[in-house]
Amino acid sequence: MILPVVLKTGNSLPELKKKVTQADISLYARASGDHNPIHIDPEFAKKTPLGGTIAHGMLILAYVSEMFVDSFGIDWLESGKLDTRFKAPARPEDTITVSGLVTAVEDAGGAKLVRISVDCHNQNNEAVITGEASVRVK
Amino acid sequence: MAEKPMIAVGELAVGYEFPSASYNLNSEKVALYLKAVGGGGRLFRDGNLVPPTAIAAYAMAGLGASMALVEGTIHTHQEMEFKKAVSVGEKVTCRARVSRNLARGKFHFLNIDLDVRDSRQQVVLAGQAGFILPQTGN
Repeated sequence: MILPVVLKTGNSLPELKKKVTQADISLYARASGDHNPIHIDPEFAKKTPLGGTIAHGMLILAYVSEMFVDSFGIDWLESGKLDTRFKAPARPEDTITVSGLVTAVEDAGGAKLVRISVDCHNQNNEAVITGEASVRVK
Repeated sequence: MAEKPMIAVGELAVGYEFPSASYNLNSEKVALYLKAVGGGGRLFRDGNLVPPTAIAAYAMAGLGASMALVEGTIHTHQEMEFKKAVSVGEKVTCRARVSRNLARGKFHFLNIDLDVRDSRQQVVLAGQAGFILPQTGN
């Protein structure tokens, strides 16, 4: 499952692009049980400083994890680490691009520990999530 | 967690442990999650494994049901460490503990440590969520 291309410092993981819709956000609220009105009630959200609904941060992190799942397979589920900061909200109709850059590949007792910087940005190139990840590749 | 009365953030002392919450990760629940996130990655197409971000999302939603999160709460950071793949049909138990609650100026800086265990009491996921909340006089 692992893509060999990622096992070299300076290489990029295959990017992921996702368009976020209000329907996605509302479905995610049902699926996760997080029914905060800032995500699902446009009338409520319009009156807040955010001016409208926003996606759950955990929905965008699901996209980040998908990039790692597709690159590292089961190793991501058994040893993935993700440390992320939410920089700006993702809004309905935003297109989110998730990318990862390998920053180090280290020997780790018969396996490789791959370190990756993570970036999610919207169609205006504004950072939505930044962070670091690592995964132990067997 | 949802049946318990909500706790004001100002009353959350460092070390406070939220009531644990258990979830049955049945196929319907996981399928709904995968639909909401647009698939989650190739590894989940055969319907046998649970996306680790789904488990984190259920844990986070449980927290939201326990705490009185005021309007203006910002989810600032999220750490997740995946320790073990989890199969569909597994029952998991989420525990959460306050690791930081700092009142500074008009805001609370709140960190909550999470861990999720399977039915054999093995940790499948650990992490931390960080929030900034406006003070409300609670």
